[in-house]
Amino acid sequence: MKKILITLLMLTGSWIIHAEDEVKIKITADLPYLDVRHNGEIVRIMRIQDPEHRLSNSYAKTSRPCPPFCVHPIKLTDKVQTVGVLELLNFLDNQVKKGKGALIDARLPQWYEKGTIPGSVNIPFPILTAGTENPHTARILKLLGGNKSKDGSWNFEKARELMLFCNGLWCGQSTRAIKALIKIGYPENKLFWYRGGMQDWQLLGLTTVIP
Amino acid sequence: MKYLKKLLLFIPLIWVITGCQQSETEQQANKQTEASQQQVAVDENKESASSKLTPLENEQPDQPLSIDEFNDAIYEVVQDSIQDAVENAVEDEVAKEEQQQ
Repeated sequence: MKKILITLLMLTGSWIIHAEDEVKIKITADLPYLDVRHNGEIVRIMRIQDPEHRLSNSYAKTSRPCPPFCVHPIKLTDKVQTVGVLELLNFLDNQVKKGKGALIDARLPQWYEKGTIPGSVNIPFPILTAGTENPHTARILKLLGGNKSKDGSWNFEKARELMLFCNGLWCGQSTRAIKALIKIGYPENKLFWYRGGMQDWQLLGLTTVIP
Repeated sequence: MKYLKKLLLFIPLIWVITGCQQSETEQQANKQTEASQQQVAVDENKESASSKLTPLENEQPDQPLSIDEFNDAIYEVVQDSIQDAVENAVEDEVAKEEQQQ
């Protein structure tokens, strides 16, 4: 009986090691993939394993008219942190997993429906820019952990940390959402901006999901 | 005369019985008013206790949402807002058409 158990354990172990070895194109040397929850299912975030893969969708496009598609600076405000892919993955693995943070796709639904980052939720920027008098905005702020007192002011002391993104460093949807949140009174130290957005994500061949 | 004596004997008996019944109904009525007064007192206490909470504490969610519950709740709001936006757009169009006519 013991022998059977040991054999089974060894087989399982070797299978796991083999599965990790199969990932030739890792995210970092120590991180082959990351499993996250999306729409009630586990989704594995990893890079496309075909070394010949090229982008052929709208993110392969290099030039868009500016305005409105102008390049944004690296820092949006002094306190809002600009982050990259690894910080985003760390955020998904910690804050989002523990229910202390939310990764927000701030794009309009028609963009979101084409594909998004696993583990994100879509809050289109117009909902946030509509102002706190808008019932939908108020509902969203409450879900994010904000509290409205009877005098109408909002308290975000216990609110989640938010990481926002949109299409890329030429996209203004996440910046408008962040500016709206700051205007409402959301603490800037709880806001993070994944400036590279979907273009940066897809350039690395990372997994996307169609909701 | 015999009937008169019997009648005289019955009168106090009837009086005693009806008197007892009255006192029982009075007691019941008293008990009911007492109970309702106590209930009012309990309700008043509850109200005063809740009014002592700050508005923020009153609005605090009971349980933190799980990832799926949070995502579903956000999705629901977004869908509602889209629905409203569509309805508003339709209303605007109708209003424009009415104005043109």
